Amino acid sequence: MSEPLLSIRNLKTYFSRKGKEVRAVDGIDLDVFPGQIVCIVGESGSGKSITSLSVMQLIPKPAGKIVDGEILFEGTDLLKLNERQISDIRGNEISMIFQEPMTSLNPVLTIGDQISEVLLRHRSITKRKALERAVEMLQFVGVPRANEIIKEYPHQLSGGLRQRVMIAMAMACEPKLLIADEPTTALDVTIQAQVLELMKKMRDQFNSSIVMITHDLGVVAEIADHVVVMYAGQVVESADADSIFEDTLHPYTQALLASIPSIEETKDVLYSIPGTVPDASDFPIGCRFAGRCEKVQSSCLEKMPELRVVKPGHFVRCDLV
Amino acid sequence: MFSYILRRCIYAIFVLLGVATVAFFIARLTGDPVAIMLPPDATVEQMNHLRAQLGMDKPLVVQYGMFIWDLVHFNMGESIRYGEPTLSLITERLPATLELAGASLIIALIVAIPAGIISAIKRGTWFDRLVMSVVLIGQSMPVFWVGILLILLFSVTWRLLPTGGIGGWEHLIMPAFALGLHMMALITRLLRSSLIEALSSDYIRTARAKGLFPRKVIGKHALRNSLLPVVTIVGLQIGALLGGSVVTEVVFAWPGVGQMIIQAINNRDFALVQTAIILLAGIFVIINLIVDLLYVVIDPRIQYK
Ligand SMILES: Nc1ncnc2c1ncn2[C@@H]1O[C@H](COP(=O)(O)OP(=O)(O)O)[C@@H](O)[C@H]1O
Ligand SMILES: [Mg+2]
Repeated sequence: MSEPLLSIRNLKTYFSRKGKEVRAVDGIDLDVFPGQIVCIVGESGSGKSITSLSVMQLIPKPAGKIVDGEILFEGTDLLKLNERQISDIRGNEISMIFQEPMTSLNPVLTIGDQISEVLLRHRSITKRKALERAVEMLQFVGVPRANEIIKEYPHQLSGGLRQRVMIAMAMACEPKLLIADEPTTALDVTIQAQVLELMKKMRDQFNSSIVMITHDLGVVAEIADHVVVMYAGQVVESADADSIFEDTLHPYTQALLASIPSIEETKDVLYSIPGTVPDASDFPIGCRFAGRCEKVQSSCLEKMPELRVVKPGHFVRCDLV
Repeated sequence: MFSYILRRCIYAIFVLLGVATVAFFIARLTGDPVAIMLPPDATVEQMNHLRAQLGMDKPLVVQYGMFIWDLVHFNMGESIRYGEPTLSLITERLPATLELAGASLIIALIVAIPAGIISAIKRGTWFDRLVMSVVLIGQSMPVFWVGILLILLFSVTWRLLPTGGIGGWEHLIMPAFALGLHMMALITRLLRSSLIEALSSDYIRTARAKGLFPRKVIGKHALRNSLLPVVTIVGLQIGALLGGSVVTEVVFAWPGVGQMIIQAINNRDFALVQTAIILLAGIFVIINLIVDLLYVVIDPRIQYK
């Protein structure tokens, strides 16, 4: 295979909260190849958003800090760049869209202004050309009446339209990598499907790679080439999408799959994983999932399992497999 | 929009009538003007005669009725002291008061906006702490005290500025600063906190994710959103500014409406007091309307119907 576009090695992003160290991201490895759609999946609080914000270097300061690791983008370590250099990459070569389409757009600026300003920042074009390009992008992401919408404000649009605007904005400079942090979570199901289709269209059109963050395995099944399962700041399983669904190895991934509601069997009670994610400021020494794992053994509590290759391209952090 | 303005104007008429009523009764609590207009040895007949001349022999309710009747016909009465129409007496003095209030507003904004922005960006640093301490002091010093302190320092000790009176900028700077200090402190604190809030919002994260320069992120994306509460407070504080101008004008012998009101109260010149208060209230009402219309310019989510 070709060289990875993005390669995260042993990334650790910690917060300090009330004098305690919160290990939000605790040694993540992740590769994204050109044109690939990688899904990061895991329950809320497992460190997915902080991973993506670390790549963009948008970690809330001064509470959060990247303490270790490398983030190689086309071979350059983003963590070694200064603020000016990283801002040249943001919105240009790596773009990001967020979960909350309601609050992620600036309420007092027009849609056209917000899309064109990213072009004005990274391309040397006139304001008029940038606005024309904004209209094109809006038409491309399927926004009706694009010519009028550019003069409107976010509050005049529905949630689905706003998320399309966010996508148009993120794709305006045709980035090599798009990071989408739960872009469909706030939307209803039909709109959700349309947005996922749109993301695939983006990948095909611009040959962009996509890192899609979600806690919804339905989304993963729909879109992923490769899946990374995160739990308590770590990767617990990583494989191509088919292996994750057909040949599930980690007990946590199995539990996640068991908790998807399926259409065929109508269960009375929806299965959900018992217990909660351990507190990131107080992780156990052994396996972090042990407290909720059905297959737990005494050895699991004593030593943290390593992430190891079980089959070619299939990584698992569990010593029982 | 037009019907909104019309409704606001009708509403303003009622506000002004209310203000007029309060001014009418409060003025009469100050005492009997006849007693100070005549020499101490005047007879009761002489006093009654003057009272009748001034229309003050009638019951209070009748006097009030006549006052309102005159008012709605834009007849503001004559000063019993100067024997001239009160309206022209006050409009003569109004430019001086507006000059003072305007200058203090400008000084307040010129200092407060950069101070608020920089302390929000550099929150927690020594600069921020210094600004916030100055703000606290500024907010707790009464205007007359600041005025006297300034006169002591700049006029008496260092002999740099005149103690009072009207003239060039050297006359204006001290009273304008004293009057504006409160507003300056308030705007700094408010702008700082609302900018800090804006800077932690999702759309700022989006703006930074676009690679925009900090200057754009703060100046374009955050500042406009944090201006709304500031504009509200500026509008409301203009009332306090007009009130404060009364004290400031007395301390600095500034020949404005405020000083005239104090003299009129001492003279029990009811008509003059009433007209001055109604006029100042009118200015306040107009400024508030302008502020409300400014919201629409700043925040497209606000619309008046
Ligand atoms: N600003 C912050 N301050 C302190 N801790 C934080 C902050 N943001 C996130 N965290 C912690 O980091 C962990 C991972 O958060 P996050 O990446 O948002 O999870 P996810 O996106 O997977 O739901 C959580 O335990 C959370 O408490
Ligand atoms: Mg998240």
